[in-house]
Amino acid sequence: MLKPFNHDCHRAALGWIAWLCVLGAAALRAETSAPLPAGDSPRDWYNAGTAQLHAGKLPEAEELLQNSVASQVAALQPLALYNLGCVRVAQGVDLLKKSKDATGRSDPAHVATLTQLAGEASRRIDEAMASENEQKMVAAYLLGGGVRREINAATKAVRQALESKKDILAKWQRAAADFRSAAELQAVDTNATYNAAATERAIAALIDKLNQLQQAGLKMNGAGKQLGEKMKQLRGTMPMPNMPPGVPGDDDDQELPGLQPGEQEGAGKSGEEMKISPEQAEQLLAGFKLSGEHRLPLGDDGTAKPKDRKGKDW
Amino acid sequence: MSGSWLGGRAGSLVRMMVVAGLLGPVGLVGSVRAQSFDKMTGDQLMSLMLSAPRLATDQPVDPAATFDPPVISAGTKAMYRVTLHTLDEAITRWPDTLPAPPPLDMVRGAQGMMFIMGAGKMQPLTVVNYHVTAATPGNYVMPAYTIEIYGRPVTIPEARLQVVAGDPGLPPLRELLLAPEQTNVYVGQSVRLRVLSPAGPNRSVQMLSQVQLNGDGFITGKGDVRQQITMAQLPGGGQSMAFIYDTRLTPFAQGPLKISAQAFTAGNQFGGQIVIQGGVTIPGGAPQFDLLEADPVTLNVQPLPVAGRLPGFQGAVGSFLRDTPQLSATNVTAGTPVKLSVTYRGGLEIAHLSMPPAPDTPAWQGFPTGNPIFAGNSVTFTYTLIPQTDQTAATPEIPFSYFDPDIGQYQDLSIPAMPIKVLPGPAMGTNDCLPMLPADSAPEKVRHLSALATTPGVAASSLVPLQARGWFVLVELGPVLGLLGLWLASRRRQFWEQHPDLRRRREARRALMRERQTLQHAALAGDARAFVSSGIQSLRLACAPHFPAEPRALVCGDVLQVLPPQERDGERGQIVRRLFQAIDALEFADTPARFTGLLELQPQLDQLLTELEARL
Amino acid sequence: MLLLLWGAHLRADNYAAAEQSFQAGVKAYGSGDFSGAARDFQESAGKQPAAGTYQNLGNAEWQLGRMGPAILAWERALWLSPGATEARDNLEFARTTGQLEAPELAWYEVVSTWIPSGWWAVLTAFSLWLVADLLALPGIFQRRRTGWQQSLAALGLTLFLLTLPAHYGWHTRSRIGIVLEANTPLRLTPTEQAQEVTRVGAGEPGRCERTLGDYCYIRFRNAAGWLTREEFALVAQ
Repeated sequence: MLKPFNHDCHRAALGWIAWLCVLGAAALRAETSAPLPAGDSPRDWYNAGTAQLHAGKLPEAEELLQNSVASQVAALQPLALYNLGCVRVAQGVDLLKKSKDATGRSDPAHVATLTQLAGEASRRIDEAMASENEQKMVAAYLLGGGVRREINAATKAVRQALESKKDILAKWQRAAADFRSAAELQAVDTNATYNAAATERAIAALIDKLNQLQQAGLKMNGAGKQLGEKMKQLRGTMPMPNMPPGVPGDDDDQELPGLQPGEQEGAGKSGEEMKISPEQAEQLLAGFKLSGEHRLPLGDDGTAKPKDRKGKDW
Repeated sequence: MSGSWLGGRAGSLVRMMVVAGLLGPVGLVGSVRAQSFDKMTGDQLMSLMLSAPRLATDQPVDPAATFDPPVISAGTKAMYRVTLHTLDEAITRWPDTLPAPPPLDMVRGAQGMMFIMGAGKMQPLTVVNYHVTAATPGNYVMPAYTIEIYGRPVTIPEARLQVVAGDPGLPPLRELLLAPEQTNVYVGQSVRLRVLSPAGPNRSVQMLSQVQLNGDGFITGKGDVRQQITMAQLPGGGQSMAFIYDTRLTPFAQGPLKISAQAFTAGNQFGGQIVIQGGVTIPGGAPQFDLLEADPVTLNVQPLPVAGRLPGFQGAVGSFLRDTPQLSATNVTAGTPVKLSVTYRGGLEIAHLSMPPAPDTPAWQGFPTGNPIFAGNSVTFTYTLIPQTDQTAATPEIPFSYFDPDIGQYQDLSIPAMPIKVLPGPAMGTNDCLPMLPADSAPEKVRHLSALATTPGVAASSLVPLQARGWFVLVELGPVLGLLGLWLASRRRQFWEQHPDLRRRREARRALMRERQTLQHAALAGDARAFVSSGIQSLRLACAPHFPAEPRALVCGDVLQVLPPQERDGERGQIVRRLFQAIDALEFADTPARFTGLLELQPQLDQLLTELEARL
Repeated sequence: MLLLLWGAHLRADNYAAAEQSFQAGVKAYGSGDFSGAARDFQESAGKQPAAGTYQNLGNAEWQLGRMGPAILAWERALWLSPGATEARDNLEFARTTGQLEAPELAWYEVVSTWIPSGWWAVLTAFSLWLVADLLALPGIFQRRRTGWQQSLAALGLTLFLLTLPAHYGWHTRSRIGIVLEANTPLRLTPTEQAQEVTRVGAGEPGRCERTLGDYCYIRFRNAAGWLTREEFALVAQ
């Protein structure tokens, strides 16, 4: 049974894991080889990767340790996998730090507030439409537009937060699997089992947060869509000259545009399909290459005439 | 033509990109669509769409209707122009006939749309033209009428036209002029077409935007466009400064081809590169976007003749020249690639020239190298040719021909065979040695599953190789053991041959062991006679190797001689004597022998035999 | 002797049961029941591995859309009978269809395919013991070695030496196997939650270089990694 998630606590715990890993790796390195050996044997890669982990150079450490694991030296694999897990946990922690939303737009509380605001704006639009008061309509429209714009910004922030957390999740999932693999290869390695369990707890908590954020985001998006529909109805009711110019939130929805069901491509305005003979089609396809790279020269000087032509003298 | 290719959502997308300045001026829309969509991924396309300025779709339509010019003389033409700030797709209903006053004759003209940048948004502007003529002077009012935009009614305001009997004193109707280079052309022949907008009063020239050719059965090249302002010969005669839009079109359908043109005036807004020669006045201030039209012209398009068509014709129509082909080497070994470059020269139609297919003969294998290189009015094709044999002295001829519309005939411009020396290469031996196979000796394999096997076929007890199975290794030990046994037997035989006394003693021991068993049985059975007989035989067997002698030849004295001297007359000597006496009596006496008391000697005899056996 | 007789009796029973399953498989295949046919042929091959049975098993698996087991079965048919042209054609057809490559064989492996492996073993054993007998027996029996004996011994020795590369080829070829399922993840380490190196397709040939528990380290043409025994089956297994 997982404990209720406290994101900061788990982040701190994972930070500790990462730090302990670094210390452990440093100690191991000090034990095994005081000077960093220069070479390209799997053992050298392992030692160099451990040193890079100690130095905080995570991408380099990951690459070296990965090479060490891939070398298939049975004695080195559990050690390298353990350190690789440490590297990936630390990378996830780094990503977590970077993904912090300074604007607070992806905060679940903010998202919940916006959902409520969207409901309020929809209610006001309903009232305005019922009252048929133009000033009320304009005011409700402006309010709705403002809320929709904010919802769009928040949706964007939530989407970014979800994307970044998915990256973190991928890193930690890989790290947990690395720890588990290390424990599987070296059954006596209780540290790897402990780290795997701790990472899996953090993953579970992160998934909880992801779900929470996703649910809140979906709810907000639904409220935003409903608000958009109301605004569309309101716009249809308002006389054209009274339509507020440049009303925000109309065409910058976060949802990508696409063909709606039932919508079809319109017919051409002019011109009709022509029938041509197969011979003409063959000549056309063979002889005419669509090319935008060969522009006409500027001015008449560059125009070459291979032969005298009949026709008009330009 | 353009309208049909531009229609619908794709057309809107292309238009959006055009307006956003991401594509060149409207020309060959087909090519724009094909190239852009082929090369872009969905994400890029979506990014492009999203990065375009926003459309001002919620602005007032602001309908306007005017006559251009507002005053004309009777019998001349005016343009009734309706301007709407909306997308042309947004017009959902337009009256088939306008409620024009009876003296006015109105014919539907062009319709066009463009976008005007303003306040960070693109504002659509749709213009609909009607050609108006009036035979009698008077003041005419075109009444207001209703159209529908997005299903909502929009009222077009009224407009007024004054028709006078004399000269109205106003500049005439601004129109475009359309002038093709030739009017009798062949299918596939590239024709130059010029759209002119002559200068107005005070040599005032406006730019043109959204120039569009209307009609069916031809295609234009997006890149084949140039714009200039210069002194030009007008189609109707005379010269004037004019904005000139040159393009090329290629008809692909035979018969009369009707082409018209339309464009928006764009004031001083330059669209793309433009060359200005001579003194002109370009009006300042905000431009007036009017949709101008040109009267249609007709091209007579003839089909290419079938007769006289030469090999290598791929649809090239025009007039071309060929430079001398160049070989990268004239002395190569078989199997070594050599490059053949050839340059064709011609007019602007050179851009549409297709590369003749590479040769593929038994002696030469060829393939095109890279893409054709276009430079000005020339194109260079490069082939990689690989000689397959040293039995060739020239590169293969590559057929190519074109149709010259000026003389109405096909012309041959094939790439000639180039002399080259091919030396035998390392792979030549095999070529020479391989015999040709008869046609039926190498049938093409049928590419489908075989039928089922009707019997299990070759079977084995396991898939594991025989040599990897345990029993096979054990079986392999058999011959080893056999050889070893034979060797040991041989050694043993040799040993016995070298030590006959040992062999005798061993044989005596074995015989004694068997005889003693008989002795035991006789004693147990109480058979004194058999006991005596077996006891004597045992004594003989135990003593015979000491002489050595045949056991049956030994007599009592011989046996006693084997005993230690002190025992010959003792108890053991007596036992031996009694036994021999008994057997002598049995064999030689006349009366039947009596063996009473002899069986009691068995323990002593056993002991004696054991001691004798130990001495063997 | 009794043991031998008992073994022969068991083998005869197995053969009869295998034949029965084989015929049932042929019947099921003919009636379009490819799943049943595959099961019958598998059962028959389990009792008595035979080239024809494996060929038919491959056909049935192919009809079921299982490319990996089909290729494995045809490879096994070829393993038992290198001259089985139908199995060879089917393999070529399957590999062309599935854009797969055949295993790369060294020269000694190619030599080993000339005759079935059992024949090579018999040939080697015969030549070896012929040489040994011809050299040892005259000495044992205190006879002089004659010229024909020495010539025969030289011939046997030559034959023995010639068969050695083929034996090595059989040994290395016995490590070749086939991936059974499509999109099989190739693991970096022999662990359950290993990192994926890449994914390999059904029917891809590889060589098992070493084993650890339930995992084999497989080298493919462009990649190497660990697969479980359920994911990768050796041809000679």
